[in-house]
Amino acid sequence: MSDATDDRTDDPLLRVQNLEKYYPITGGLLKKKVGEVKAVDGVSFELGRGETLAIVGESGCGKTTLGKTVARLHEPTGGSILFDGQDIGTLSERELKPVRREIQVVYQDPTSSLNPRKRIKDIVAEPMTVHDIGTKAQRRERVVELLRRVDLPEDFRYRYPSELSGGQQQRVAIARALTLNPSLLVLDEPTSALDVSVQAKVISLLEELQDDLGLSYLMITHDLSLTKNIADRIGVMYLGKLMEKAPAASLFDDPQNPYTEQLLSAIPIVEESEAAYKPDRISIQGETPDPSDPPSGCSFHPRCHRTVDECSRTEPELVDVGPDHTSRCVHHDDTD
Amino acid sequence: MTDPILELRDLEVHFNTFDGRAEVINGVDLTVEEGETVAIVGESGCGKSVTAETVMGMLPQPPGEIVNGELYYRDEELLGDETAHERVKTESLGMIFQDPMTSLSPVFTVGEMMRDVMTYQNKTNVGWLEIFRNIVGRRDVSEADMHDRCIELLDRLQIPDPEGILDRYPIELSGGMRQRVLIAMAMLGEPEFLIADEPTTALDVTVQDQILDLLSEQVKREDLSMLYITHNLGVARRIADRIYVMYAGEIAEVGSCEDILDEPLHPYSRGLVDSVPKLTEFDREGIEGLIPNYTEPPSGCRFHPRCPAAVAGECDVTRPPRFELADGREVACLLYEDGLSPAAANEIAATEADTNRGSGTTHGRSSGPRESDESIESLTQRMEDANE
Repeated sequence: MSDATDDRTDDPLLRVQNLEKYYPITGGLLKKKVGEVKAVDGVSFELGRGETLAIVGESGCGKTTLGKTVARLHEPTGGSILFDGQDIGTLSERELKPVRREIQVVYQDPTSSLNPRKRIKDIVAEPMTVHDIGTKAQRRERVVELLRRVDLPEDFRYRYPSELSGGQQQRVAIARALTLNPSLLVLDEPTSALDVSVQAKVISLLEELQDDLGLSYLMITHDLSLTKNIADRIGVMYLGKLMEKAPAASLFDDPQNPYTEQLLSAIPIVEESEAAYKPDRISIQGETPDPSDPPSGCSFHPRCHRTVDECSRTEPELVDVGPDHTSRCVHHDDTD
Repeated sequence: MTDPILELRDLEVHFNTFDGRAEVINGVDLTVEEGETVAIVGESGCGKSVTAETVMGMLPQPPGEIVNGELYYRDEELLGDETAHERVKTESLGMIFQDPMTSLSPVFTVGEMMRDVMTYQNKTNVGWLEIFRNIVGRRDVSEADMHDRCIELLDRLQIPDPEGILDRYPIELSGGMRQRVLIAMAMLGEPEFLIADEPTTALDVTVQDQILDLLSEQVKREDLSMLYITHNLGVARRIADRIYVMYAGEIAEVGSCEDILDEPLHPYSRGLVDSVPKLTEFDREGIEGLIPNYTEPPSGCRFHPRCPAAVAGECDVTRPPRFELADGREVACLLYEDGLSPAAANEIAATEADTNRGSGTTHGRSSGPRESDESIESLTQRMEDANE
């Protein structure tokens, strides 16, 4: 579907091609399928080793579904997920087990992703128990090492999650994700539930871990300002589709897609100096439409400030608009 | 200066919890001038919502207890006079809450809720007979008038198809629409003073942008004053005239948006502003430590255990009063005790913070130049320069 050429690394860790995840809508007495929600609709991207790719978008755009499908917590309905050269989209649960060691997930809300009835040591050792790795002593040693790694005191081992603050809980969740030495972490809004002063520290930890362990991050977030600071490349998602994909610098310096422009224009700035990065104020219409009944043509056209008649008829493809920079908009064709 | 519309003096609120008595609000002074929008910013648990609830007269008591303080609304004291508070609340105050789904009833349509608000507004005591009359449809205000008023308000908040919205239930509306309905309901009583508690926190940025536009439009149009509670510094900058930075139940710093956000003076506001990811840069150091336990709050300045510029023997002993540095610019920090100019004091705070941080563990990629490895000589030199 994408005719954009991606001449990135020859050997990316993750290559996702035309990934689709459709959910059926059933209705009637016989639960017949009456429609479908295209949560992820033909998404393609590559993630290099040691790289951070951020997926940004508003709520309901399918970014979390994308993350979960890439981690194979959901089964894709189409397309392929090449992880280290192997298509993991079609593997069975048994075949997936070694892959699961390599891909780990950190969720948004640590209070609900950590079992409140287990001690920290058992939570962090859980992946080793599941994969039957190490003796009891080795596991204990690994837990201590991991807690040190995420800057938590060793004696936190004997505590329960409720005795920890939000930032500390998120560190435990990160430690658990690192237990099996993964190469890819799917970070689903890892700092959205935290206060800014705590968020800064967790982000700094994630960057340090990436530098030391050579991890790749697929980061899902709604905070554009955050991605500017930590991501190498950014994909902007709207109603299941990538609208624009670019290196972080070029996305902010030279946004090509009207949707990206609107998102940038809507960020409330904190410091005067930030104003230079914001496009002129655009008044934004409406809200994200119902994903089960997306608009015809370009799914963004009802809210777009540059919409023309053609937008409701033709669905634009992703086209190259710069080095490693692709965007989806009918206006790009005019300039070619 | 004209008389402020709302003034809060030395408010202290305690809560009785199982862990003991939590001294949550510890001497908050706050003024809102006529026609002004004031934002209280701070992180979760700093007491900003408790302050708003106290002003609105909605503080649950018990467990809460107002130990000390006065609240003046147009020169009328309210905290000591429950009936006056109730009257002012129904006649002049309007409140917008964070989560429209929990503040709108799921079992009534938008129209039914709006009609009820109109029927019972400005009434502090409603008898059973009147409620019964209203239920059977004999209300004091005519249905048609109420309908027109609802439509007018919903229209003003740019809700498409206002007639249709009146017959819908809140679950049928999107997040942005629910928030608009909530604002419309707050406007029904024609308040003079709005209290907004994180009204856009649950919304996407594009929708947040729309709601902020609408809200400031309403405030301007009706010449309202507003107290806006938020944790988002960018939102505060967009909507407010002045900002109060709150930490652990105390006001750390007061000033105009530009003053506070472009040149924060209090070490806490500095840490807070630096930690927010921005389009230009982002300081990854954050602020060490956690918000204190309110049952045993730190002595002296409540921020001193986390403060990079804390001076032992002073900050942990003396509770800093609010020093007025310039017109309307107040900072509760001992660094500013000697009547330094803001620029000079700021310089000292910055160098002190950086030297203290330099000895600790700093990791992460640095963002922009920081003079952390400055020698002691040059630091003292700069401090002397600054004092001149």
